[in-house]
Parts: sequence; structure tokens; C-alpha cells
Amino acid sequence: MLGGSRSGRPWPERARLAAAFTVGNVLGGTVAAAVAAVVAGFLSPVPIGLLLAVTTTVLLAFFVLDFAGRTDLLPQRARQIPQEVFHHGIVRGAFRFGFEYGTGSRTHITSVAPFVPLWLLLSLNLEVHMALMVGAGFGAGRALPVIAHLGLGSSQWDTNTDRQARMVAVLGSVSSAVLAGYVAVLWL
Amino acid sequence: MAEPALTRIADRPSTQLSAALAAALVVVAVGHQFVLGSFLVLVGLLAGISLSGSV
Repeated sequence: MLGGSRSGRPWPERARLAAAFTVGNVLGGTVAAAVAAVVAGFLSPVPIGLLLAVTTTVLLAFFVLDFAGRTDLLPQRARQIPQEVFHHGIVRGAFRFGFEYGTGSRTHITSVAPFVPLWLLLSLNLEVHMALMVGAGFGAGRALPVIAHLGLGSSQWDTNTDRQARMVAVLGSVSSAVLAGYVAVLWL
Repeated sequence: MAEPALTRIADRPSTQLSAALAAALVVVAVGHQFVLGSFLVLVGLLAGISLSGSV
């Protein structure tokens, strides 16, 4: 994606790419969370019990789809981010790619994971700054593996990813859901 | 003679106890916000990392 094998690009350029991509991701995640917070505001007249029952049922159904290996049935935009984002320079492209990638709604979704923070945002109607924290964390989490990719070099990254991607997806989404449930208990 | 009066009030154990309780409440409130905030960031972070297969 960002073409970062260990020998492919000099270190300063990789650092610039990583920084632009990370900032883009965090910003994208924050914007997506802000949109979710606005939607949550519209849902606020719905009784919290009903809202929690509906959103939790939907989230559990998404978990079942994930564990059944049918992530293709999850709501998503099932196409890749177009390469045209890099037409105005590689660093600017990394930022724009990161922004779209960080929203979590612009490309394929390979795990139920992004629906966990969405559940949290829609169910609890958190204060705006709290919603933005969730979004910023999501964007940073989205950027982290790619930054590791840039740092490790593509061949080592691909080997590690092939072996561990599914385990990371399952562990990450389950632990994220458990933590989100705990936050809900603290919040309510 | 306002200063000695304030000093006398500040020297009272009840004043010091109240101040200590107020400080503890502030610490707990800030700590609660900090813990909640950290958890919120962590929920997002874990979810984001879980999508590493889609790189």
C-alpha cells in the first residue's frame, strides 16, 4: 500500500509517510466518531433499555457472522480505497489514504471489531469529547499495523500477518467488546 | 486582624479534614475520568488493531 520495504525507501521518507498516515487515521477515526456521536444524539429520545437491547442484539449477530467466517455479510463498502489518492504526492496521499482508512467505513471490513466502538457510541450517547477519544483510539489502532509494516519491511510483515491476522482479529474484537461492556457498566 | 483568624481556622482539625476529603474527592473524580477515558481509547485501539488483516 505505502510501498515500504525496509530497503525500498530511505528512513526520513518512511518517517514522513508514517506520520502523515497516522495523523490521517486518527483524524479519520475522530471524524467518524463525531458523526456517530451526532447519530447517537438523534437516538437519545429512545429509552436506554430498548436502545441497548437492539444494538446489542445486532452486535451479537455480527459476532456470529464473524465467527462463522462470513465477514462478507457485514455492512461494508466492499471495495478498496482508489489509488488515485496518491496522485498528489506520496505523503499527501498517505494522509488522505489514512483518513479514509481511519474512518473504518471506506473499504473492506475483515472483522466485527469496528462495530464494537460503534455500539459503544450509539448505545451510551457519550459526551462528545469521550466519543472523540474512542475515534482517535480507533484511528491510532488502524494505523499501528501499517506503521509496523513500514518499520519491519513488507516480507516479514506479510509472513507475520498471514500467520496471526485471524488470531489478532478474534482476540482484539472480543477484548474490545469486553472492555466496551465494562465501560457501559461504569457509564450507566 | 484577618490573618490570625484565617490561620486559626486553617489550624482546626475539622478544616484540615474537610480539605483532605475535598482533595480526595477531586483525585477520585479526575481518576475516574482518566480511567474511563483510557478505557474508551483502548476500546477504539483494540478494534482498530483487530482490522490489521485488511491492510
